[in-house]
Amino acid sequence: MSDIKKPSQTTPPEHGFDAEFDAFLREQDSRLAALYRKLPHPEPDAAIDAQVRAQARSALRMPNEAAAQASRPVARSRAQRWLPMFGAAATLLLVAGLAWRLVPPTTPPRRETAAIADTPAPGVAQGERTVPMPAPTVPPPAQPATPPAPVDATAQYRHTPNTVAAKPESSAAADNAKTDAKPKVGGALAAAPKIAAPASATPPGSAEPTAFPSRAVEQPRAKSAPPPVAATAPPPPPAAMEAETARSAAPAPELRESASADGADAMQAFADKATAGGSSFVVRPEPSAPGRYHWEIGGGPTAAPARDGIYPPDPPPLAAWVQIVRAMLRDGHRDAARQALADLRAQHPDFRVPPDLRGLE
Amino acid sequence: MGTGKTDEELMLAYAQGDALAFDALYARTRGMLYRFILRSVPERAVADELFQDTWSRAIHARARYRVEAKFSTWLLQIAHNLVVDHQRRLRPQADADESEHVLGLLDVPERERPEEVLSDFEQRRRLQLALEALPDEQRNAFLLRMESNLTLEEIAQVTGAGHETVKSRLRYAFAKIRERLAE
Repeated sequence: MSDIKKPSQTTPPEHGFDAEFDAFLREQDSRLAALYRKLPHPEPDAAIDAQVRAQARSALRMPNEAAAQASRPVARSRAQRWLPMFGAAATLLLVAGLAWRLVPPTTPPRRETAAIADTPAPGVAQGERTVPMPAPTVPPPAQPATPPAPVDATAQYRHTPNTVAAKPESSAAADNAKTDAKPKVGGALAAAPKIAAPASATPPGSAEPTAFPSRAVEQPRAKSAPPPVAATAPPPPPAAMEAETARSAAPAPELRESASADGADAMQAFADKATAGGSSFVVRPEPSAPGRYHWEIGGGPTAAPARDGIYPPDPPPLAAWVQIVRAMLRDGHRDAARQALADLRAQHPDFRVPPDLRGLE
Repeated sequence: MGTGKTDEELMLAYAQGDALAFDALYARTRGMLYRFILRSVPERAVADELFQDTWSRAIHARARYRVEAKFSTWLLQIAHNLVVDHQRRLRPQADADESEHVLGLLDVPERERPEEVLSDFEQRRRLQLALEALPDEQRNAFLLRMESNLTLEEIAQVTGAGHETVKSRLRYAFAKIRERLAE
């Protein structure tokens, strides 16, 4: 402690010259360093020494660690650079998905209508349901070329019972027509039951008309001889014919799906007209002349046909004509069907082609 | 073992893959480093953790080591940064009023100085208490000076402070320690 008594210690250190400060430090060091060296000298534990040495050796076994560490921030920044892009892409995807879900669909209503048309109405057989519909806005054709028959021209078009099935809530006229037909069941109309009301319209004790729709349902795809298109069956047709009738009456699935709501409405009106007089028609292939079809119109209460012919060339009533076109298509006579449709359009310029036949135009 | 090599040469040898060079380097510097850390942070567990962390960082940075300064300075710089981070989480710095008060004690008459009257044991105890009571920056500078015998420039390099700042911190540190020894 002798250095404490040096005169230099009385010099104020605030004077701030480095030399003086160094002297001050030396003086302080000399006194405090001696005291500091008397403090305990702790050292790390042996376990810590072992850990540090082991870490140093393990680091040598990974020579590329330093390089990896150096490149790690770069990789991190690269990933961070992509984050906004990922976020933008995810947002875009989300917005597109929401927009796709929120845009009102254009075709589903039509699909729903078709689905409704395909759904069997309670109490109505499937065979009836699938009978094709004529065009909606068909005016009652006058048929000037043909002599007035016991069945008026408009009555021919009233026979499309599937329309009733597809649109149970249709016009009151259709309901009235059906209601009116029911009291006649026990009368002469019982001989020609309408498909629209198969069970209730069948005469008591007559099994065949009652079985007709159900059999048609049971064999909707029966492949038999070229079937007639029978909208009604004054005489009980053979079983094969009935099945084929049901099958031919059902439009092709793709065509059925294209049926529109307005078409169904118009077809309902047509069915009302067709069924009002209890008239019916039958279309069947002419065995002796492929591509030709025999048609006949029932006379309502009378069993004998009111009018018949072979098309071509005999022009049938409009409803039968449409069925002939469909039968031609079904039987593979596409050119004949196209020609028949053209003839029909020429004969009935106001006729609106059904959706399932528009491809022929 | 490389005992004739300098600390810097040993570190370069270790960076080249010489594990024995590291052992020699570690044996030379472990005590100095450990005491610096232990007297900077009073808790031994914390000191152990910081000590190991210091060496871990030195090991991982071996490839980037360049002989631009003494190895001990580089190692103490790592330790100092860790210590400062720890100290900043624990306690606030001393305010200016306290420092000014301590500065006034520098011109204490010689005969009143505590070293003259206290026993060695009592002086060591008071020195220890004084070290613990120092503001962190002053204590770090004092320890770097006393434990590692660093110059002002080296202390400035380790602590990242300016030359005058280091002088001021040391001056305050000496003054406060003298005050505690005089109590």
